[in-house]
Amino acid sequence: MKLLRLKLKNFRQFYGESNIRFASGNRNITVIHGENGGGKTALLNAFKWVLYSEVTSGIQLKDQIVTKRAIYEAKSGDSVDAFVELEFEHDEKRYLIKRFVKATVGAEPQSTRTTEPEVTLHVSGSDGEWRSQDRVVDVIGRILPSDLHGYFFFDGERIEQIVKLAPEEQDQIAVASKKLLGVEILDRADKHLVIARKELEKQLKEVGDSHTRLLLEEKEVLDDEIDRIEHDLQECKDNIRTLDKHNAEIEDRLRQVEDVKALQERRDQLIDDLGKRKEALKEHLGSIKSLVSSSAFNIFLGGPIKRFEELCDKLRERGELPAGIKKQFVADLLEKGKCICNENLTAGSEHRHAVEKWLDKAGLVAVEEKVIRIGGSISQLSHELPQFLKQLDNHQRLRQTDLQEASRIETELEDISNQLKSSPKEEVASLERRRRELKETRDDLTMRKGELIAEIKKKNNRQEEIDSELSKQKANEERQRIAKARVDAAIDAKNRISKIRELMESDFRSDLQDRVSRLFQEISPTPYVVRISENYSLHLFDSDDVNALQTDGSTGERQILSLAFIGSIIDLTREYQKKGAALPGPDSSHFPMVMDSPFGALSIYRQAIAEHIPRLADQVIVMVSPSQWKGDVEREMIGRAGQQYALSYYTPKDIDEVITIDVNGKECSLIQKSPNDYEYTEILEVSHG
Amino acid sequence: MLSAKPEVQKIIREVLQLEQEKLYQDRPRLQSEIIDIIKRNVE
Repeated sequence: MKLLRLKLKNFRQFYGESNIRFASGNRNITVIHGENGGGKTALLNAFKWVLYSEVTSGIQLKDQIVTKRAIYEAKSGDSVDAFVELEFEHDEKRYLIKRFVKATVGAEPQSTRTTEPEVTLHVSGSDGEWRSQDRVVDVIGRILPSDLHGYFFFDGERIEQIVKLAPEEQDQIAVASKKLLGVEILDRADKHLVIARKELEKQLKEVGDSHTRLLLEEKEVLDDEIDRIEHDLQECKDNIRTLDKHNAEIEDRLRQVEDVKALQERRDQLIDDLGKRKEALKEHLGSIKSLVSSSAFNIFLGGPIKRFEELCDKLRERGELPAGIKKQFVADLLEKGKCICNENLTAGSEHRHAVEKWLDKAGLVAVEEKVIRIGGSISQLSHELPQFLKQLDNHQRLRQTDLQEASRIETELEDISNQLKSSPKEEVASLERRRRELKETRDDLTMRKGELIAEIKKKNNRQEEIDSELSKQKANEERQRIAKARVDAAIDAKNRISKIRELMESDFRSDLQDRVSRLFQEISPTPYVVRISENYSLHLFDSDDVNALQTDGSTGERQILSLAFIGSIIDLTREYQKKGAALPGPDSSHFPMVMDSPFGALSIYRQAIAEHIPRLADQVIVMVSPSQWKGDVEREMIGRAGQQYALSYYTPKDIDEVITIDVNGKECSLIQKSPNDYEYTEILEVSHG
Repeated sequence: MLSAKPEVQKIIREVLQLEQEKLYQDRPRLQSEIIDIIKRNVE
């Protein structure tokens, strides 16, 4: 998606019509200067609204779209249009999306009625003709998935929150990343092949013999049961999510009660620590498993090694080791009929008999060679055992520490809960009682969830057994043979598609982790490394050692982590698509990034981030206040800025002085007194190219 | 994928192609087209 032009009319505080053309190519940054309150966030919302019908939180959508000045200036009964129109290029086509509302002004401005927003989308291909396009949500979703739009159009001051997502939001990242990868197609194919398989099994049942019919009937019953359990499982997950939401609300309320605020904050900290300990426990367990599977065989080698040494000792005692003489040498002497001492070795002679005896001993040369070779391996294995035991011990010790610490935290959490429950303030006590009830219900649900997952697994296993039995069944008739072959093909195709999806996802996640880590380390001076869990949550660790500890990082570091994450998603998706992956996905090889005040809360990392941002995306639109822009940020970005605009804000309030910014020697007013009684913003082009 | 029988390889390719082309099509129609693909390739 290459952004070309944005047109606004009476949208929020932008009175009348305004246009912005976006920079691209080598100078891919469009800088939009504006003071606080000058319309930067409104402009960010223009992108979100036109493409996804969304705005940042805190704005009541429909009734606040139309600029107040236009409504106040209109007569009763007049209608006022407001729209946002965005032109962009994608996959060699041009798109023009427009979202609009119409306000009918009432006798009083407050009684103005605004229509529901409507949207149109036009696409122009190589012939230059514009055609209207249906299914706007789907089309836009394929170009830049709605679930991911928050990473491309974002409020920079809150960007660190990307890495502190709630679990359901982490799921969203997983889902959206899959869309970018094209995995969505695989998901759909997987589901559709299951249904196709069921239909083909029905057809097989009609033509199959009695045993086949029996097996298929059992499979049908299992299918129904799995559907029912999956439905229950989904319900269970939804209920857990709802309980978590209620729990968060209760904790939020406790945080607002002055007397217990500190206790709740301590609890927050402890829950956070407990999570980290549990995560570490899981990792230690993983390390132990992998260590045991790769080296535990050493424990069982004690007996064989001892036996080997005993055998060698016996050979040495008998003088058979070392062998000292080669079999071929003795055979040559016998062949020649002469010993090395010049004695004739005639057949039946005492001398010949003595030399012949050496033949048996000489045969041990091969044994000696083996003893040397096996002895070398055994000596290495003997060293591995103590090493294995030491590593195992180390992991066990760490695990033990984590277990003890987790248990201590749980005791302290219980203690906090008791204190809150017996609080003299009834509100606090009742909130805590409710919280406990929720926790108990949640524990039950979590257990139920585990049971349901196990049940599904069991039934799936039985289905696999039936499939294997069915494929072994001999088809008596041609019709049955074809029907059976079709079912087999549907199952095989489905399983292979699942495998491809699994591999793609795990490759993508591991590549993403490497890239985020690299990008994070390039920007941040800390030695932290990034790990991405299976559900796409991001964690910082103090080193890449297996025993590394998880760290929260400062706000600045979390901002860098978020930017590194966004940049990496863009980079990797682009790379996967360039590789021409056999899998069809949305063609998203060009990505924009629209950021409102990305340098707001930064101090020491401001320059490093400004240096990296232009490289993260193909096109960058950055909205900055003069204090964020001047200095490091301007120095780093000015060479890449292809367009600059200023949001010139008019306020009805009296102000001491006009606030201006100097762009390339041109002075622009950012805040000035309004010539009328209305508040509005004009967009001025201040520098081009 | 490489170890799959040729007819299964063809089914996978055609099903993915269909899913890509008709991403927004209603499910029942798509399913019957998938069954047709399997039937055509396994005779």
